[in-house]
Amino acid sequence: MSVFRSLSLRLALTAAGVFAASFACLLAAYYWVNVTRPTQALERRIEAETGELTDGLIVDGAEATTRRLAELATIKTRPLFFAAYRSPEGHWRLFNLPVAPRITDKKWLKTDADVYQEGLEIDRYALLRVTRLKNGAVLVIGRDMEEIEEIGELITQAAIWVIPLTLALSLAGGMLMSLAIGRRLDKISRAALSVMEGDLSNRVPLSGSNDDFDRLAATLNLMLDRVEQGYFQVRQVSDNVAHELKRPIARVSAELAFIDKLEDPAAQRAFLRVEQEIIRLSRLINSLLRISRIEAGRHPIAKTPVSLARLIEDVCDYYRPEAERQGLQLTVKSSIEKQTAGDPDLLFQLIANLIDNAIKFSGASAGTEVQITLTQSQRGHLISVADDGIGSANEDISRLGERFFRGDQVHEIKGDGLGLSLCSAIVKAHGGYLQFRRLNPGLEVRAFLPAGDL
Amino acid sequence: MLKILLIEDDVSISNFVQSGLRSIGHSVVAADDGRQGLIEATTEEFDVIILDRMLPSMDGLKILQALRASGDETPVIILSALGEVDERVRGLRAGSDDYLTKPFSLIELTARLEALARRPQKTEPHLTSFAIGPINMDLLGQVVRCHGKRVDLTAREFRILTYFARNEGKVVTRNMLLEAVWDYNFDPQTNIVDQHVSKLRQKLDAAGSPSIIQTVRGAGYVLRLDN
Repeated sequence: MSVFRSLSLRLALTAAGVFAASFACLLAAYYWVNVTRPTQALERRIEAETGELTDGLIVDGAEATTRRLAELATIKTRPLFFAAYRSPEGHWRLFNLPVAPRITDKKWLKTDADVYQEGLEIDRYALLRVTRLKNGAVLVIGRDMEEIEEIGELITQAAIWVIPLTLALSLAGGMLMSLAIGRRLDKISRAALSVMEGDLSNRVPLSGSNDDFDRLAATLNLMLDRVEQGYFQVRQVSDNVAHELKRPIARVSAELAFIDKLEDPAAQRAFLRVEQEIIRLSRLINSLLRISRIEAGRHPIAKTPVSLARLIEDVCDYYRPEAERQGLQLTVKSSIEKQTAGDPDLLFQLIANLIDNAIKFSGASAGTEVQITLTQSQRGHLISVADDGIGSANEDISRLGERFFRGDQVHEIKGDGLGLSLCSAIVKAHGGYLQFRRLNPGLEVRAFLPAGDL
Repeated sequence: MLKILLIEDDVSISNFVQSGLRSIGHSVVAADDGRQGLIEATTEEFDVIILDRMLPSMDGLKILQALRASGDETPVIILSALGEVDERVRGLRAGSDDYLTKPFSLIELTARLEALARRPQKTEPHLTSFAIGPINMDLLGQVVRCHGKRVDLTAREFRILTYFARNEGKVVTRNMLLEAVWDYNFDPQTNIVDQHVSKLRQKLDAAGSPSIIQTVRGAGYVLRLDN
């Protein structure tokens, strides 16, 4: 999904990540201040008390010490004092502890010390220090750390719930943001694309909020203004070129026309050849200019209803005498009569050039048939012209639409090499494309024209 | 003998056209500037006006529009270096009657001038039939008879014959035929018009009217009764 590749989403995720991390740090700090340090302080206090009471046990004996423990246990000030004494014989005496603690060889022990008083449950959590004496007695001293424990729980719960929630919300927010940004960017790229496709007057719409995107759009629009300007300047130059190139040729033709006949037969022949070349040059320039204009989008393409089947029929009507003269069969297979939208003159020229080529290259070799097929799909129409003549070399196939390109094998056959370039320009101007396929023998040219709106 | 007005600023082309037309027997008045040309057109009567599209002082089309706006209906043929279909259409819409691209041959120009100059007036009723010698054409029924016998022509051949009939006695160039008989404006890589005319001639000859369509060397064809 393109949303995930979007920069804005990545930025949103990064921000979310940083936010979540900071929150985690905050929780950790809070934990340290309110749980870890107080626990450490309590441990130190218990350690000190243990030391004192242990010394007392050794010096004053068990009886005195247990009396002392009972006293300490009754003091109401927080944190509550816990203690337990196990005699060398294994007899436990408990002070504020509901049950005897489970002794392991660990020094510290944490255990629940909840009690029920007057029908209420009082939560207590004992932090206990265990001391073994040489005579086998065990002295357990501790304090209540219920409050610290509660805070610790809270923080842990917060971490477990809030951090994933933060990330989820950030992800959702990021996706929404990225979609919104994506839409704005989309508008911009669509406007740019439409300009590239020839609609020079198109500009990026501004939302009016004067935000970063609007500023970007405004800058792009300025750039497009320049592009449009430059384009029209080029167009002006091209129109002048047409006039400038044709004027000298028209003049040369005019001057040549004054020469009736030259005495010297060799000169006369040369003169006729010059005349032919001038005609050829003039046609070449016309073709080139036409192709350029169509390619540059400066040739207006009419969008009128056109029957391709009818066009093909008319082209074949024109070429039939020539096909017959060359002993070629023209067959047309048309599966539809549905109209499309396009420029009738240009489309006629397209089909004419294709069939002209097919006849020319088929007749010059051992070809027998030119097949024209018209098919329709959901996406548009496909015109196929196939001959079984001279064809094209494999390595030349991709170059057939180039201006002036002629394969080696057609060297002997007359032609200026612009026929297919014009075809290519015409299909492209209609939003379609040309395809070439080697047949053995011969060549198939396919023109695809997308379905137009009528 | 036609009285022709030529409005063309290029000296070479102007000289070429003037001497060419004069050698055939027409009289030519030349103006090398649009304004001058317009003055000439409005002060004198001409059979045809030849107007260059790109003139130093004004766009040829503007001159044409001015002319037509003043009520002048003299046939106008436009000469232009711009050969695109849309340019032809613009020219025709502005009121011209024909359009020729440079470079052109004198023969082409002459043929078209003569065709224009003797065009029947717009008020004449539309002809529905032609009778030329042994040939009888019924335009409504699309039937051709020669010596009373029906000649089997294709739709295209019928159109070619109709065009010839409308221009009886006048030279018809291949380009003129292509423009008139085929609806589409295209530039054929191979000129097959000759072959179509040839087929038509074969059919007419077989039906008993030999040589009614004659070839004019270097120019085109002409449909003529007398041999």
